[in-house]
Amino acid sequence: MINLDTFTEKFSALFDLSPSESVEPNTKFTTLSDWGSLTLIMTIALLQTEFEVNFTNEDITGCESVQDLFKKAIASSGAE
Amino acid sequence: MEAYIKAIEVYLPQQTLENQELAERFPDWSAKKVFEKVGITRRHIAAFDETAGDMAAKSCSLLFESGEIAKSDIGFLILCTQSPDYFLPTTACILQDRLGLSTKCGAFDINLGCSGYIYGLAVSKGLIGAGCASNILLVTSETYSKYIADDDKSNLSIFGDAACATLISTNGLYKVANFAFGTDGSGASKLIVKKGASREPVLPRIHSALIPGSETNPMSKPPFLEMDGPAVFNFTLASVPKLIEQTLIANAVTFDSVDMFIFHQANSLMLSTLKKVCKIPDDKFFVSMEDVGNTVSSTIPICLSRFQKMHGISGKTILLCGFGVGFSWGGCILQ
Repeated sequence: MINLDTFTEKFSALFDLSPSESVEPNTKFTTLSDWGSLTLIMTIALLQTEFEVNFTNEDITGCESVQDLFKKAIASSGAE
Repeated sequence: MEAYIKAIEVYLPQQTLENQELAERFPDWSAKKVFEKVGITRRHIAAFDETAGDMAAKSCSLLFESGEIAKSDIGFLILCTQSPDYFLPTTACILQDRLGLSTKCGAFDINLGCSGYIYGLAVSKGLIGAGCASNILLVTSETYSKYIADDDKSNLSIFGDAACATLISTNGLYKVANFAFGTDGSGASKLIVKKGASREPVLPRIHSALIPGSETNPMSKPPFLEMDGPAVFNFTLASVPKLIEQTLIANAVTFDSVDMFIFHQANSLMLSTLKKVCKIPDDKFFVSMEDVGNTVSSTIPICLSRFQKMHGISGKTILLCGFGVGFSWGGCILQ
């Protein structure tokens, strides 16, 4: 199971970030300029391949930060 | 009586939409970015005055020109489309006349999208098994491009137009074995063209011009394709692995005995995720969509046609899997 740093790195790779943006564990990812339906789909795919969990739109957009998303995925996968 | 896929011909419209053009229309998307996200570089787009019925006729003409079958030997014509020429009559009836098929030929439309080829195969197998016909023309033809709004960059990037004519007979290349199906209409709104039919009619343009305030009347807006990509993606992840299992059981074959998996070619991200989830080896997972895009019910016959040309077919066990709009899904084995 990947750790938070690795997950954050993989999650960051889904986005085309503007020069002023970065993705950290405490980033509110829904406010990133590239956040939209395609990045949401890519997030669903990432969660499925890394944690074998199927999250809905609401599961994902309801998370405050990257770290929140990671913790939720860990909890859903039963890996804790 | 067994049913066999005997021949497949593909028609692609001449006009294309390339990633470079998308990048010029949407400055925040580069051609490279489009390809990275959807795995498509080109889509073929029907001409303004070219309908799904026109494309169907062209694909059938290619089949007849190949010499595989005479028009007089066709006993049934099935057209799978969600872009009919008219609400009525059935476009397949119009096609029968255009092609010059016998008036003893049965004809009807199937209104299905991504699962349509699988359902068409099942109906064809049933008709042959029941002795209703020996040679069936199953045509898939779609012009989703005509439903997509000019500012809908996601759907413009994904969907392409195409038509395929498949000859299904009592002998041929692949035997059509057994099927598994599924439907979940609660997902209907996730991939939909709402307007224009009975539930949400559209005002004729001439009337809308005469009615005060009609420019803001939602009924006067044209029908556009609406897709909730994430919801469709989640439906796929939830349903396809089970569909594969049910298809294998229906055919009493094992996962390892399948030589090739051919899925509906929705987009590259969905395909790569499904491959991982279903644990399909790379060399058993057929992908061919970069130069045509998501052609809805034609993605599977296009892949089958290309697979046959590349690899031949003798002795191969192929699992076909279609899933999408409806929600509707289906799988079958070819041997």
